[in-house]
Amino acid sequence: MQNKLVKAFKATISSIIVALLITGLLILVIKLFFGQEIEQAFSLVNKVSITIDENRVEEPTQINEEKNTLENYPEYGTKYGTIEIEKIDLELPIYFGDTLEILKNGIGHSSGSYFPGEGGSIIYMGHNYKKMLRRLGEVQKGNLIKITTTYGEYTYKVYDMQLIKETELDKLPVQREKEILMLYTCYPFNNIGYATQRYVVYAELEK
Amino acid sequence: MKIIAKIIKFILITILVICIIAIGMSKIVSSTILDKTYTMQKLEETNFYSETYELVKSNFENYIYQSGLEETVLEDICTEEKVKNDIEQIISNIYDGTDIKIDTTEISDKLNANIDELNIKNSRNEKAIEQFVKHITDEYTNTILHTKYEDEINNAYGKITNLIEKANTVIIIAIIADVIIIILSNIKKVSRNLQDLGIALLGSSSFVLIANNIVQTKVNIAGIKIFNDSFSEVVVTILQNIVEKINTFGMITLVVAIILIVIYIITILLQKTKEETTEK
Repeated sequence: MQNKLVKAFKATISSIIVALLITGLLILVIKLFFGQEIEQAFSLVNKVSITIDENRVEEPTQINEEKNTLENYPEYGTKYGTIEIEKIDLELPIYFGDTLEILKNGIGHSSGSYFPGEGGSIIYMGHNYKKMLRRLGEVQKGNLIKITTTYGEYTYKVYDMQLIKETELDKLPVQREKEILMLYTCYPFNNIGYATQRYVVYAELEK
Repeated sequence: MKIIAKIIKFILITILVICIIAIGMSKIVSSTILDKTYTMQKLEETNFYSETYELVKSNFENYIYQSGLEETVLEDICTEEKVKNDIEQIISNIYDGTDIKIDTTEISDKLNANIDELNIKNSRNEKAIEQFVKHITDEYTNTILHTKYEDEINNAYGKITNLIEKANTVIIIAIIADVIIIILSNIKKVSRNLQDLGIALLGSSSFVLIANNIVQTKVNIAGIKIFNDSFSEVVVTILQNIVEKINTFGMITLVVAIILIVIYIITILLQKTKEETTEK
């Protein structure tokens, strides 16, 4: 009886070994010949895959006064401040980003520009809708624009206004020599249809 | 000579393993993403139609803010029913090979009627309004279609299904030929067929289960984001369902493999007992 059981046990083990050997062999062959392509496919899928860390605690945005740079930048698409222009009774939220979805909710901050307090060009934009920047044309030189962020308050004084074409990006230069706020909207303000011109208000840091 | 026979048997079983895996995967793909009814069912389950309708409305609003027109012009220009019908039309274009373009006349007519009610049209803004209407209808088509590669996708479906059909025929012939050769090689010990088939199924199941596990570990399927939330949900649901089906296939082949090996062992034990009884 023992002999028979040993024989059966051997048959089982040999079946499993052969099966695993084939599996291993196939995996090896696939890895050898298609390994790189498979890894590329994985990384491609992971590029469009978002992992949300539910335990992550968001660090507050702070300004490093010495380096003139922000620590823990706001997340793209989030609100990080408000803009006030007393002259035109305007108070709107500022969001980091400039997608159409963001611009529906308030003023968008061009992600290629600097943040208030960083000592460079800040580019803000908003629709010319009546709840948004329809009255931007009433802003005059010397008027103040107050930006209140989660990390500090900044006041800018308007020193220029310009009408530019949507393609004239050189009129919105990104630099880090001087803190300048550039706020723009579509022009004409009560335009119907797609506007190809932009009305830009330039303001420099007052305090 | 015995070693050569064993090597040949090993190769035959390996071919059988590859064929079993290939036929299993082909059946899973054919019954999921390549099946029109399945896709429609998943779209319904994930509320794709209503979410796309909401997205269409939201995208229209983006243009309103730029246009300088009142929000009221967008009222009732598009219905959820139209969105559903148009999506179904796109699905038919892909799966049934039809070539019906999305008709936006209804939307532009309703939009123009709403604008006329505002009484703001004049010779100066006429062209701008025309452009705005075009932007809205283009936006609708873009939101519904999601891709500019519509024709390529439509053609790809036909090519893929054709290729799979041919591959299935080749695989089935290979399986039959392979099994016949294995049976012939075991002509003196018929019970060995059970063991060989058991090994092939065991190899297939372990490969499928390991590979599926690797994919699940390396790819965050649940977090995939393509185009927008509603489309991503459909993609994630379908991919997760495919992963589940592959797992089920692996488990079924594993169970069948175990059953075959157990039957083989019982057969050996019975044969030995019979031999011993005869000897006595």
